[in-house]
Amino acid sequence: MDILYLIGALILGAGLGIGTAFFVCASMLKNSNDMGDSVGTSKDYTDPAVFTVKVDRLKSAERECFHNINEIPLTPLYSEPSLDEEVHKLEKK
Amino acid sequence: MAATCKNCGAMLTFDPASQMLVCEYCNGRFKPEEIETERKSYVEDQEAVAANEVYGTGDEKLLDCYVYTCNHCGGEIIINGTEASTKCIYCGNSAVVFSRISKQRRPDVIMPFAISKDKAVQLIRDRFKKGRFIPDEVKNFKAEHVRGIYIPYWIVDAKHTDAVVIKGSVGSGKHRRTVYSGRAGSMNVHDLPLDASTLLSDESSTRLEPYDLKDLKSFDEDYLTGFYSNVTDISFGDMKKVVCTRANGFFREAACDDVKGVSGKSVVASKPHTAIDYGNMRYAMLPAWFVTFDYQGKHNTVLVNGQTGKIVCGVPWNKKKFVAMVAGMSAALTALFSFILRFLLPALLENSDDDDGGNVILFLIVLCIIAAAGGLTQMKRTVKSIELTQSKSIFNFVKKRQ
Repeated sequence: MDILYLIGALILGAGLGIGTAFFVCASMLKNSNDMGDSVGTSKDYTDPAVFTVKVDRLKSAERECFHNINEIPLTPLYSEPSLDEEVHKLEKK
Repeated sequence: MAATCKNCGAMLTFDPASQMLVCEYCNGRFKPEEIETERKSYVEDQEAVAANEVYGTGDEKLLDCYVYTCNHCGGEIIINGTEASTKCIYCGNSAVVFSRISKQRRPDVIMPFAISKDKAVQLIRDRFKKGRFIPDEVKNFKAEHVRGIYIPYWIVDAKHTDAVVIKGSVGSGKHRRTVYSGRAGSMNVHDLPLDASTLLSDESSTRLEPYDLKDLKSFDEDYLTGFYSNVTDISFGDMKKVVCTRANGFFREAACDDVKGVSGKSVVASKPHTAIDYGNMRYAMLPAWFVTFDYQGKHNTVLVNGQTGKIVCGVPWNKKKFVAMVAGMSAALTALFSFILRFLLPALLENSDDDDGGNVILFLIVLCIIAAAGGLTQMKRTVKSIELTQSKSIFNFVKKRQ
């Protein structure tokens, strides 16, 4: 039984040892060689979101149709430009 | 157009440290707005001439090139269709600003370089020195090209609305269960910078963020002296795609943050809508340094935010050093964990019922898998970053200038 425990400890120990070592070294490699891996966040570019509807436990039927609340979201201020057109400022309608 | 010194007539270049136009000969210093405007209006009447008209060739490869005459030495300068300023290869005149800025797509605002060329290179060297796995050759790199380029951006405001269904779980162990939450609402997006050059990948340009837009100034051609620049060439389709994707990401993040007491949250259904304020967009020039060096036959291009000094790159790694470290640490940790488990396993398995013993072993196996998968994810991100730094597109963006 002792030998079984020893073999089990070696196998699990090796798995944990190699896995942990790989994770630690890969993290060190990322810190060392990958620079500037970040982009602007919502804090930089948005006002806080305003939630008009909040439901914390959706039932099955509600789940299927909840996203349809956003059916008629915004009144367009501009005539939608052609997607191939080069970007320039537009005049309001 | 060459911005010339009022005192001696020599060329002026923009100095990021003092934010002034400097004359290298008499050391005269001038604010960009002090340079008289007649010269600038003269530029508006200059026309670019297609290379085919100049050289009488029908070669299609030349169709996208334009020929300008340097007004300092008279040399002919050939540029591609999206460049707005460059340097004369004959006399080194760094103040060649083209009529297309004035005539076609004049930017509204510009953020002048705050980081000088030397400072940018020094920042990179200092950061490389701290890299444990960066090869010595890379730490002591010889810069092949160091180019300050004004990247064209559209700064956009938008309103985003959405209704999202968020899936998550509450409780733990046997009491764990899946729950669904709903959030509907809106979000105002403001001052979102979008790279307006198709030549530079969005992946590279977004990593240069954030820029502090408080430092934006009204556009003046003289800020371009000594630097390269491009003009906008993206379509509304390109712009819409990026704005919608980013606004959608911000809203989803806010919605998930608003759901409390739930773990492992993800959006499973949504109906997003983004309305861009097309009349309120600002066309801006934002600064970046592109530093290129060669390592093992590959071109590497490091980006430095010209305002904040943020460095963006993935650097080749010393594979031998990495493998040696993984092997050494694995051996040490294997010995340590095996030693601990040698005594812990009998105690855990013999003093518990069958289920608990099996759970302990399962837990340890899952732990091994999580650690290895975590390591693999980190490695993938690093390798992706290195690939981006070595990509041909970014190298060509820098190289294809006089």
